[in-house]
Amino acid sequence: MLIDGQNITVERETGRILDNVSLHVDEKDFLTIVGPNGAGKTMLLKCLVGVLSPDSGRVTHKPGLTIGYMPQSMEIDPVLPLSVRRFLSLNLAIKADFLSEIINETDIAILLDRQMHNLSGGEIQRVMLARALARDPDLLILDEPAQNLDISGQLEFYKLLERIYNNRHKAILMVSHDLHLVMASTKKVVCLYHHVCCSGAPQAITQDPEFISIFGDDLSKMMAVYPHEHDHDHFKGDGD
Amino acid sequence: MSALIAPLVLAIIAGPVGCLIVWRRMAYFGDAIAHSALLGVAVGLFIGFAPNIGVALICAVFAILLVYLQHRRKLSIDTLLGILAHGALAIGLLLVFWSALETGHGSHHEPNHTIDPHTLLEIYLLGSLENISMNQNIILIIGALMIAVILKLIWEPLILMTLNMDLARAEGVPTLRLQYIMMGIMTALVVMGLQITGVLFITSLLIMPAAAARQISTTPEKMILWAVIFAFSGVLSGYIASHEIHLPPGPTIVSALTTIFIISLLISVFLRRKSPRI
Repeated sequence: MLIDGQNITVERETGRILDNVSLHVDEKDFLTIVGPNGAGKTMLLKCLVGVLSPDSGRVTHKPGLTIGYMPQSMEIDPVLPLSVRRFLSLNLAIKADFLSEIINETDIAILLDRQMHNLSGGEIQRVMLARALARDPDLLILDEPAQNLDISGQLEFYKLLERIYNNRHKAILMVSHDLHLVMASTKKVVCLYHHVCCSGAPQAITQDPEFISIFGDDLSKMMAVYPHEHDHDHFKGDGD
Repeated sequence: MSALIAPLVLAIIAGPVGCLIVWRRMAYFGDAIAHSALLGVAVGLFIGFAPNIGVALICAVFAILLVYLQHRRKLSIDTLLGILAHGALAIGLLLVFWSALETGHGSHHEPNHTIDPHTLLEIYLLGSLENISMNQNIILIIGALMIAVILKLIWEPLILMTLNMDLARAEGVPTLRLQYIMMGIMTALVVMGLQITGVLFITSLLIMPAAAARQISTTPEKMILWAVIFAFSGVLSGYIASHEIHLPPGPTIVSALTTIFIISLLISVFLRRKSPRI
């Protein structure tokens, strides 16, 4: 077990954002949280990371757990002059060869001397992923990591994630709207709408009546087509 | 010459602290703390403390209050800051006049109390050229060194936190503690600058050099270096000019800093035209 969240509840003036949500992440999990806007997905991630303490409920981390966290939509304030190179090693003791390995993997070598605030949305996402990896985490927690990318950029990003999952044996927990793209690589989907509506393997979840009631019949039918094509490789590859 | 020690030490430490205030968008906070300083002066006079101690106490209370209020959401933070700053300033002004009336009857014999309230206000609002004693200079230098050491120790996490609060917290940076430390440093600077620039201009001494430095810097450290250079030249020229022409130092220094800011802005516009995307 890496993270165990029990009965997480968060109240705001508008009402209960999270209502008794329990979720746990194991080693080698690849878990995706889906749900409509305002469902509390970001809030749940923040609670699990430890950035926010829930009003009630409990979050337990495995002792010594390192998390690579990628917050939702990083807006970089131009008032702070900071190069990508500097950002990657900020407040972090990191070996040069490990860093260059990550730079190659995320393909950001050409960005190193750029200023953070001059990066495009997609470039920021790659840099943020590199930063998350630079801490050599046991678990990556990503909040809509592909949201600023165009469709081919999204595909590329999820392929990169899958590679990292298979090669580096990191567990991954992410929030995503790109259901059709995520279904192929993720092992488990949790559907959240203030509470956990349903969870399970991507194939199974698209048949779940609660999933259909939230996302509609058309989408679930569309989803159901996807996962089967991909079942073959990545499940075997992650053994050891 | 020795009259210049205090202002120049203040200018040097204002460089890095000012950059942090600009990065973390704390200019309003600085202003609120500075305005509360006058209340501190008045309370100090009233109770019979040295004004500096009164200022340090009141400013510290305000700083803690501000960090606390930041997390409440009923009123927006700029409204709260406006209320605190001007409330404190108004009450402080009234207390200064009142304490002058009280002592007008001659019951006490504290030397400070015999000062005409208008002179007192001019000193604390606009700064003064009066010589600062060697002891005070030494305290100022030690204070500046301590701030420099603290900043050096918390520099990297502080920058990470400036970039993204959630990211820093997720990586284990104690963000709330750092916020209190920043408030403490700002309070210390207000106290240190009180008699030099006056409460109305201490925030400008912090943010103007940093804002000018941002126009021409590509790393946080270069920005600090330029901020120190600008603060130093602004204070030096402003202080000397105010001495020569007999003008209050606060507004004179800040006018010099404004000029520096405008020049750096023009330079950066010119440079950007030549090579965009610095």
